[in-house]
Amino acid sequence: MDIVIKAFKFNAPVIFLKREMSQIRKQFYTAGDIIISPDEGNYLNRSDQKIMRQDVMGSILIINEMLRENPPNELENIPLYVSNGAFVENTEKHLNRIVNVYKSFEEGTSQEEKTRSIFRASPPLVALETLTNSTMSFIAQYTGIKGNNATFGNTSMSSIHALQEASIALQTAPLVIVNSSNCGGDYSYLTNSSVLGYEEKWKDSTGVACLLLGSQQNDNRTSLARITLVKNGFNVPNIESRGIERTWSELIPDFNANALICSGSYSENENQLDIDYCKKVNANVYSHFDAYGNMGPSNIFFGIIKAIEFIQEGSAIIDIVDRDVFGRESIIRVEKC
Amino acid sequence: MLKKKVFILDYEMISPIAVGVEQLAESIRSNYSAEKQIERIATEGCVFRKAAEVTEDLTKYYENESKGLKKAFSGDRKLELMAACYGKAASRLEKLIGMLNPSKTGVIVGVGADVTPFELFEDDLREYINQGYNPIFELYSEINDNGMRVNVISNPYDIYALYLANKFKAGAFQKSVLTACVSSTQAIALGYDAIAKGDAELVIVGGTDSLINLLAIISFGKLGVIPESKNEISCKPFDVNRNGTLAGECAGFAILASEDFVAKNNMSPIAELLGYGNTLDAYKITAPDPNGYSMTKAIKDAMDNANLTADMLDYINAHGTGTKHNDQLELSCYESALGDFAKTIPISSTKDRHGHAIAAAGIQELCVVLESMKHNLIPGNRNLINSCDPSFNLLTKNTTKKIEYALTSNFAFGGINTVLAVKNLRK
Repeated sequence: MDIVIKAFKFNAPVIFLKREMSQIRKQFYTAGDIIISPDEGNYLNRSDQKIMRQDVMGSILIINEMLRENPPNELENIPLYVSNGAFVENTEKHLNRIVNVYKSFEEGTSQEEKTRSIFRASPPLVALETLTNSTMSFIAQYTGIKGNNATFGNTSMSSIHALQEASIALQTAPLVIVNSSNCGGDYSYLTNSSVLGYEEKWKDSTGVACLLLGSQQNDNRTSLARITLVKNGFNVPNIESRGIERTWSELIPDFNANALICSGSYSENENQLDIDYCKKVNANVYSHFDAYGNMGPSNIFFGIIKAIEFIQEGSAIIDIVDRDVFGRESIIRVEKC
Repeated sequence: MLKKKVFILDYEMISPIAVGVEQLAESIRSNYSAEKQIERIATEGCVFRKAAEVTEDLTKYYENESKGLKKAFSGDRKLELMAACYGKAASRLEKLIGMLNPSKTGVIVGVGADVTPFELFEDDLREYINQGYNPIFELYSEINDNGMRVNVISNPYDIYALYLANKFKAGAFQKSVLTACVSSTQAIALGYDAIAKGDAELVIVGGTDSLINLLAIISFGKLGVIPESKNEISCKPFDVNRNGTLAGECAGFAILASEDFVAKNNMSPIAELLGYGNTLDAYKITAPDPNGYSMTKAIKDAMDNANLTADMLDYINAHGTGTKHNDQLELSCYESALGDFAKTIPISSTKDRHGHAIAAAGIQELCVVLESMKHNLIPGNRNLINSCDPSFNLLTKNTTKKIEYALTSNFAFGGINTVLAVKNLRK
C-alpha cells in the first residue's frame, strides 16, 4: 500500500453546547458543531440547502475548495468514497414532532385518527433530509464527479473502508477523493451511547474532512505525505456484550513512529485511558478529543491531517490508531514522501 | 475495476415472495405477487396501505439465539430479517464455515435507512410526554441501556455486518454500504474488489432493509415514490400506466470466493461474478439525469469489465421500479449502452412481485437471477399490460430459456448506478 496525499481540507467543530439527554437519568453530553458562513455556500441551490445537513453542506464546500486549488485533469471519472456518521440532524423535527402527536391520543382514539395525526406530523422531506447517501450524491452534483463510488457507514471504521477502497481504485485511477462526514449531535449521541452505555463528559461532534489521494506513478503534482499502512484488527466484536479493550499495540508494525495519534473515545475518562495506553507504546501521543470530541468517521481523517502537520514540522513517520464504537481497532501509518 | 475471477458459491434470502431461495422458482412460476394490504402494522387512515411484506413468522429460524438478541429483533426488523436469513441457511453452511480463515473472510452488507418503529413504543412515549419529558431522549436512554452493543432501536448500521461476521467468524472486515437502492448491489461489487485485490478469499455480501414501518411508508409516500393504495395493482414496471413502486422488505446474502479458494477446496461454484459498473449521475438528488449518461456508462462498464458483448446477454433483470422517472429512462440507457441488440434481450423487473426492498434490492434481484439461471426460467413482467416502449423485449410471461449471461441493474435515489454481470456455471 502506498497512497500519496495530494491535498486536504477540513471543517472542524468550534461551537460546543452542553445538552441534557435524560432528565430522569440525569445524562448530559457536549455537542460540537461546525460553522458555515452564509457566503460560503452561496452557490448551493436554496431548495437543496433545505434538505442538507450541516455535515453535507460542509463536505460539499471543502471538496469544492480543495478541487479549486488542485484542479484534476479528469474530474468526471474520479472515484469518490465517503464515510458517513449519523443521518438525523434535527431530532426535534424528525423525531419529537412526530411522536408528540401521541400526547393527544386517548383511550378512545381510533387507529385511523392516530395514523392520520402521524401522517400530518411527518415532515414531507424527511426521507431526503436523512438520506444516507446525500453527502456523496450532493458532492457529485456540485462537483461533477461521476466515477466509481460508495458510501460506507456509520462508525469510524467506515473511514478505513473508504481508504481501503481508495487504494483499490488507485490501481486503475490516477486520483481518488475520500470524504468523511460526521453529523454529530443528539441522534449520534443516542445511537453511540446505546452501544457503549452512558459515560460522563461525553463529547460528540460534527466534523468533515476530505483528502485528494493519488499514486506516485500516476500523478506528478506535489505530495504532502504518503499513507503506507491502512489496517484493521481481525477481532470480531461480540454484539451481545460491552466493554473497551485496548490492543492497538498488536496492530503497530514497529516502534519507528515519531508520534502516535489516537481516537475513538466518546468521554474524557476513556480518552485519558487511551492516552495512557498509547504512552506505553510511544512517548509522543496526541489526541484531538479535548479540542473536538469524537467525530465518528472524521476522527481518522482529522488524524491523517494532524499527521501531515507533524510531518511538515519535521517528523518522518506518524501512526494513527482508532477504535470504533463497537471496539474495532485500526491503524494508519503516514510517512514523509 | 481490477480484473480477477470471482465466484458465487451459495446464496440465501428472506423475501416477501420466498422465505428461502428454494421457494423462489415456484413463486416465479406461479406468478405470485406479494402485493397486498399491510398486515404487520396498522395502516387505517393512511393512504399508503399496500406493500410486499414477509408475513411468515420468522422466529423459528432464530430460535437458538439469546433472549437479548431476540429482544433486539423485535424492534429492529432489518436485523430480524438478516438473522432469519442466516438461520435458514445455517445448517448447509456449517461445512463451509469450518473451512474459513477468519483473517481472509469478510462481510459487506448494504443497509437501509434507520427508521424507528415508534408504533411499538406508543405507551412509553405517551407516558414520557404526559410527564413532561422529552419522549425520544428518555425512550432511547431507557430501552437501549441493556448492557449489550446490540439494541432494540437505533443500532449503528454496522450491526448487520457484525451479526453475520460473528456467524461466519469473518475477521478480515465488516463493511456497511449506505447507498439507498444500490446499497447491496454495491456491496456485491465491493466484495468483488476485495477478492480481486486479495484482501479476502471469501466475502459474504448482501443486504437487509424493510419499508414496512409506518414512518417509512409515509415518508416514501409523501415523496411520491409509493402510490396511494386503491383497488388496482400498484406496481407496474414498464407499463404506460405505471405510477409508483411497491414497498418491500428483504434480507439476503451471497457468498463470493476467489479462484484460489475454490481450487484449494475443490468446490463447484454456481456462478461467476464477471464484473460491475458503478457511476454517479452528478445531476440532482431527487431525479435521475434525463440524458442517462452515467446510467448508460454503468451498463457499458459492467459489460466491458465482464468482457461481454450485447449478443451474449440472455437476460437483464432491470431495476424497473414502476415509477414514472425510472423505467423509460432505464430502457433508453440499455439501448445507448448495448445498441439495437438491447431490444432483443429479454428484460424484466420482478419488483411487481417482491416489491422494492431498497437497500436489499440488489441482493434480492441477484438471487432471482441465480435461481432463474438454475431453473432456465426468465420471469416475465407480471403486471405489464401496455408497454411504455413496445420495441423492447419486455416479457409479459415467464419464459423457459437457458441463461448463460445476465445483467442485474439497480439505480438509486441521488443518482447512483450499479450494474452487475453474472455468468451461469451450472452444467
